[in-house]
Amino acid sequence: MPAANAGKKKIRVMIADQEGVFRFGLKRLFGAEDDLRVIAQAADPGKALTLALEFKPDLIFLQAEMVRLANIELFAQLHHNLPDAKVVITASELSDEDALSYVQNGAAGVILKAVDPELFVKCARKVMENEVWLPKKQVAQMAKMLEASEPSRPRDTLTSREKTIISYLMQGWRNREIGQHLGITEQTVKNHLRAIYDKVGVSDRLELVLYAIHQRLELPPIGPAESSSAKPAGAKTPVSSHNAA
Amino acid sequence: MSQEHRSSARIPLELVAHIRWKDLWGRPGEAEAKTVNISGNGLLLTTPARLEPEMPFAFTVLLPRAITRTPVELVGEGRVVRRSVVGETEGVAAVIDDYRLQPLEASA
Repeated sequence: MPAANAGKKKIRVMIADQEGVFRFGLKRLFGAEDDLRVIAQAADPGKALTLALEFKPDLIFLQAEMVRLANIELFAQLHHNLPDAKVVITASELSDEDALSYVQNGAAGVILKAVDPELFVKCARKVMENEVWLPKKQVAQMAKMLEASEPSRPRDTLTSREKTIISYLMQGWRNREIGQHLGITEQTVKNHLRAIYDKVGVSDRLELVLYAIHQRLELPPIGPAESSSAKPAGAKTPVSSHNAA
Repeated sequence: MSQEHRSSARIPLELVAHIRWKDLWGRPGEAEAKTVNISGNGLLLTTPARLEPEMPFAFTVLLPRAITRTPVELVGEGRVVRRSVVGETEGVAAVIDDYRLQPLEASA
């Protein structure tokens, strides 16, 4: 295994845990691997945040108890200040609800301390490949819970303004024309479009139109101009693929 | 959970289309077609027309009025990537080089 990973960029790991033996053991375990390097260790929440901000690890193994001590602020602050860092929560035991909560709030995974030590190495590598790591017994349960707690379909999260903008798009209106009609700037229209693209998972206006058709989106009709400088109805110019956003 | 890259998903839509092209000798041709799927940068059409790979063509697809409320066409230019068989019908897979959404009254 080490030979296979030799030459790869090292994953910089921080261990934040109150248990010295655990920190020691995990550091020794990772020290034997070519692609993992422990760059910092913290024994309390304050130190954990300070060191994380200073050393900017790729991966943080963060003790659930430490998060509880810091009233979940620690996790939120790490996530906010180091958005690219993967955080794996470690715990002696963790309820399904808590595990789900961590993952839903951005944790890259949850790993129980009682597992085979080799699984910590595997976990580190998998989360760095953008996979989520969960205890085996919780995977099926979590899948059910995620399904039940799944946000509504993307189209259900569209605001009425966003649906209005899609209506204009379907008619071939340009961003500038939409903005004039709605009394907003062209940039605001573009911002709305980007938000819409992100919500429904498309990358341009044609895909959005096709999505709207395929999903049979219920869209509002184009209303009267909300701005006195709006283009008169019926004088629209065709929209080409070169129109930004 | 692997990170997903946003790609141009092919959306299955069966819509009436009209295509126009010029053959190798510059002779114009046109035919009716039907879309099988469309994405942001390509489409699959069934058509009796025999279009060869690399052949450019123009297309017009009438979008369903139930969604658009007023008649709107997707008008564009594309290039044939390959011939394709959809079920028992011949068709073409094409790249969309340019497009515009055009209310029908504007094209009249």
